[in-house]
Amino acid sequence: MTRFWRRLSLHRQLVVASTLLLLLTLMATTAWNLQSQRRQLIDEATDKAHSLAQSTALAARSLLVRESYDDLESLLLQLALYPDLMELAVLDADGRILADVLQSPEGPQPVYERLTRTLPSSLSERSVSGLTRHQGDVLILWQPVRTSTLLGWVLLKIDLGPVEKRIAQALRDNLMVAAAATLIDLMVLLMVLWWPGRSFRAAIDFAQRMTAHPGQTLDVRGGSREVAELVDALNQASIDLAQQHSRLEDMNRRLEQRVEERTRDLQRSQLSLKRLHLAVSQSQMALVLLDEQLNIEEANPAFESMTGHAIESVIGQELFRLIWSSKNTPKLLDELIDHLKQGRYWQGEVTLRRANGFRFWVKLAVTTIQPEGEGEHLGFLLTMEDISERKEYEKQLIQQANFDALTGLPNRVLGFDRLQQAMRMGQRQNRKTAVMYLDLDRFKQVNDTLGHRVGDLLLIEVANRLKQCMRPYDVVARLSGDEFLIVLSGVEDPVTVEHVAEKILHVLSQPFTVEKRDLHVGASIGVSVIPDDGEDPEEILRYADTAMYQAKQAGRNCFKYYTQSMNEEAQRRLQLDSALHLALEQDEIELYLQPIVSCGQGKIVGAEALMRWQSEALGSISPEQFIPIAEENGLIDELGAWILDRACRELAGMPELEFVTVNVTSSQFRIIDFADRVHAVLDRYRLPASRLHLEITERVLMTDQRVVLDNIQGLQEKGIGLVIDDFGTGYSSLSYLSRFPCHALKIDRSFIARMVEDASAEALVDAIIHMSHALGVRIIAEGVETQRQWDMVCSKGTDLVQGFLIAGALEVDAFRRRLQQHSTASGGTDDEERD
Amino acid sequence: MFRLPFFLFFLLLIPMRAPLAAETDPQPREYLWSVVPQFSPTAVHRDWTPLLEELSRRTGYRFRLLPASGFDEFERALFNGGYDFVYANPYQTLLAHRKQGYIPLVRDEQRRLTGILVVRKDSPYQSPRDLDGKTIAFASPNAFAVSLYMRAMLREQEGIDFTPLWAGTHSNAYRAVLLGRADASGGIYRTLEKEPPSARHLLRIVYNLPSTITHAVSAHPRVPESVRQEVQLTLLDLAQSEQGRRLLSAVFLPQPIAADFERDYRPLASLNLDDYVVLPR
Repeated sequence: MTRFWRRLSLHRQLVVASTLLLLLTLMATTAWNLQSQRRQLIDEATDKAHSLAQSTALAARSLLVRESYDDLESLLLQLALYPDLMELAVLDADGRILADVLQSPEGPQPVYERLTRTLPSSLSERSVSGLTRHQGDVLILWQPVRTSTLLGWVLLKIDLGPVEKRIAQALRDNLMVAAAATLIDLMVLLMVLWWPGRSFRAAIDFAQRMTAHPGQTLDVRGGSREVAELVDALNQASIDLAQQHSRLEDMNRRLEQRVEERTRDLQRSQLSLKRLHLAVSQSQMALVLLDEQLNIEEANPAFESMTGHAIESVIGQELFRLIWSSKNTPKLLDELIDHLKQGRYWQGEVTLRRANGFRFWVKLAVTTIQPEGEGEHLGFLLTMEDISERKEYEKQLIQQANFDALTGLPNRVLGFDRLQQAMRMGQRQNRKTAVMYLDLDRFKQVNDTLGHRVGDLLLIEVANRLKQCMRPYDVVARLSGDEFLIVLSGVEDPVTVEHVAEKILHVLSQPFTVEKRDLHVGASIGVSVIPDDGEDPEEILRYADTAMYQAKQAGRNCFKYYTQSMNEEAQRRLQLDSALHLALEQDEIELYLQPIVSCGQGKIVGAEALMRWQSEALGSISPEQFIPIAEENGLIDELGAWILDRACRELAGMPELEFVTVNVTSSQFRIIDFADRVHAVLDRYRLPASRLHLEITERVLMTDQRVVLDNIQGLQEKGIGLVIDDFGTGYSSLSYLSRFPCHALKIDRSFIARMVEDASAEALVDAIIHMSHALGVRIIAEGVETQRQWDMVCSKGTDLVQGFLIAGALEVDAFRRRLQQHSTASGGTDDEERD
Repeated sequence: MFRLPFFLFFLLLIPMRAPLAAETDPQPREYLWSVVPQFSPTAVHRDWTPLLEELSRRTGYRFRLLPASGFDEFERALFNGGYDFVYANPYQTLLAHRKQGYIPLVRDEQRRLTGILVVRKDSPYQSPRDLDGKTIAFASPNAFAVSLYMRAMLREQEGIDFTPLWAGTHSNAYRAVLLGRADASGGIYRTLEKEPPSARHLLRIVYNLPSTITHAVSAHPRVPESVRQEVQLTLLDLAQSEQGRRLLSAVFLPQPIAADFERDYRPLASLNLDDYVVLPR
């Protein structure tokens, strides 16, 4: 029981105790109250009954005397209205009933059935005071009616049941009130104690949790002051606890952190030591520790492999005495040792000696090993990196940068450098310096026809011959391709220069045997002289170039001195070059058409598309002048495309014309999609491919470049005819005619010009015509200028003729007029139209 | 504030009114009215007061009820002319007229007076002859039907002798039988019906008299003719209203008509009841 009670919450204890106490109190009070009330009620009832009995006796007295029993009955009926009265009767002294009224549900009723009543035996002694008796809940009174003697008795019966009922009712009421009071007390208690109880509970829970979750606060209000104070105290305790907790954790964390750091540092240093050891032992760089006297203390495996000295055998030996090479600059070692003695770092590239005596290059770095803080140094650390390979490579680089890889001659850079040196030396010695610009003749043809390998071999041979015929201090350099620079220093008179130039020309005109082939090349040489022509090396070189170009113009295999006029022409070429760039934009190039007629009828069947340039700044410029420039500066492709487009456009407007031929350069054939581009032009003007013929030179066909061959094939597949131009001037190999079936051959104008007098030329023309016909290829004779030539070529079976005899190149309008004339009256020549 | 002047005004009015009232009615008459004590004075007072008040209200005269406590007192006063108006039994009405000249004014038209003889139901008496030598209770010696007429009839018609017990009232006479103090009791139907059921059920009628005329309201000759007539007419008029009939029924006059002495009451003299009359001393 005690244990059970102690387990209850304060809240419940209070409620239970209070309720029990209240209940007990109420019960006791109720019991006592009811008891006294009951006694009081009965006493009251008895007293009242006595009064009633006495009153009745008094009132009945006269009526008894007068024997007025009807009035007596009326009196009793009135008095019988008294509450709880059961019976009221008046008897005479002998017990005969004089009036008797009984209570009935309808009210008091007189009864007459009985005439007498038995008087109680004790009544006679009580004839003065009367008798009071209780029979159960009934109170019975006998009251005497007296004058001087006893007249009779009043009998009164009162029902005390209602008193008991009222007591029972009061008990019920009291119990109800007690229950209600208890209930209200319970509710009030519950209500009053609910908040504090809840808060207490929360506070207890909170206190139990507090150590697990310090710092949390309890947000519980209400209840009572004690609870609020308790909650505040708990919250404060929690905060304090959290702070202490946090301080502890912080301290702990710092400790852990420090331990972790130490451990990490230790591990790191161990690792680093291990790594350092591994790094040192595995390093490709040789590492050596030296003592103060530069004796070896330690060395790594790289040192052993680098120097060939076993580590064990060299410990304690003086390092430099062991491996220092005498090839180094004499004072270098002293300088190094000086540096070290002063505690300074030294680094340099030095030659060392291997155990087997071989030398090698290293990058050497020596550092003083200084302890942290103050203190004596601990010796030296020496690192060596084998840079032999690099040194070798550097040497090669220098060679490559300054020398031509093919010929071994100084290249343009070194050549120019030597030129400057020679010039300065000449200035000091007051001597002249001659500069020669040499260009091989026909080297391009060799390269194009026999390939670059042959060209390269040829160039090597040329270089060798040039070196042989030069003095050792003269400079021979390869500028580019087949161009060479020769610098003659200390020239005393022009004759020397001329001798040398002639000697060079002679040497180079001798045939070269390359891959069992005899090749004939010559050279053109331009000469400029310092200080006569100028003192700026670049300018001097350009002057020599200009002179060389003149030599080429002059018929090759000769040399020319630079003159002022040469310079002017070179200037003009430069002008042309720049003007040409603008020519197309400014519409200065025009299309001309030269008629091609058939031998038989003399009817115009075709035309060759040609260009004319009427420059606004430079006047009329012939294709012979601007085409080479265009080829040099790359505009040739643009010009080629332009003329192709213009020619096709005009052709589309001349349906009576069978075809047009357009010249195409080798560089155009090197354009990857050239064939497609041509086809696109035809499409643009809705021309059949058969009406366009492209003129190409033999050299284009002789190439074995993939892209060129693809383009030729592409053109043929599309049905575009090829015409071989200048046939006979090159290698004239007919074999490729079978490889590349062409539409027509154009016999070079030089044969036409010569064949009237030269029988061999005529025979050659005959052969060409015959063979062509045998292959089904048409022949076009170009450059026919005389009637004699016309007759000859036509009699030999030439199909078509072109030349001034018929017409030169005509403007498009003029050509159209001529075409219309011919369509009406064919044949004959028209001298008037000669160009 | 103005209550004091108002009150003072009334104070002034009160002494002024008394002389005024005296002037308008110089002789304010109050007539004494009594009733034969068939019932106790309380019952008489209870039944008659409402009627007399209504009569006063209608006529303007004042009537004072003087209930007599017994027949002696009543008849002495009556035969001495003590009452101005009286409600009396038929023989009293006859004697009062003979002695004082009382004039009957109103009687009930329908009701008849029938004398009866009652015994206890559990008694062995079956006829008046069984009561020879027994005690018989009567309200009074001079009560008409129950006593005078009954005693005369019992002695002269039935030939029995008996001891009379003067009970004072009808109900007391019945109670003498009920309480065993008398063997029989004279009575009339009207008073027997007024007894409580418990009493009626214990009584048995053994003898009936022939019916006679009922009671009458009579006036002393000193009462002015106009007043007599006004009272007579007012009583008759009361029967016209429901309220009036109720008041009349309480005093056994439910259907009042004008009474006439010569026609209604003089014939009673032929019954020769004078020998049985016990005059008050």
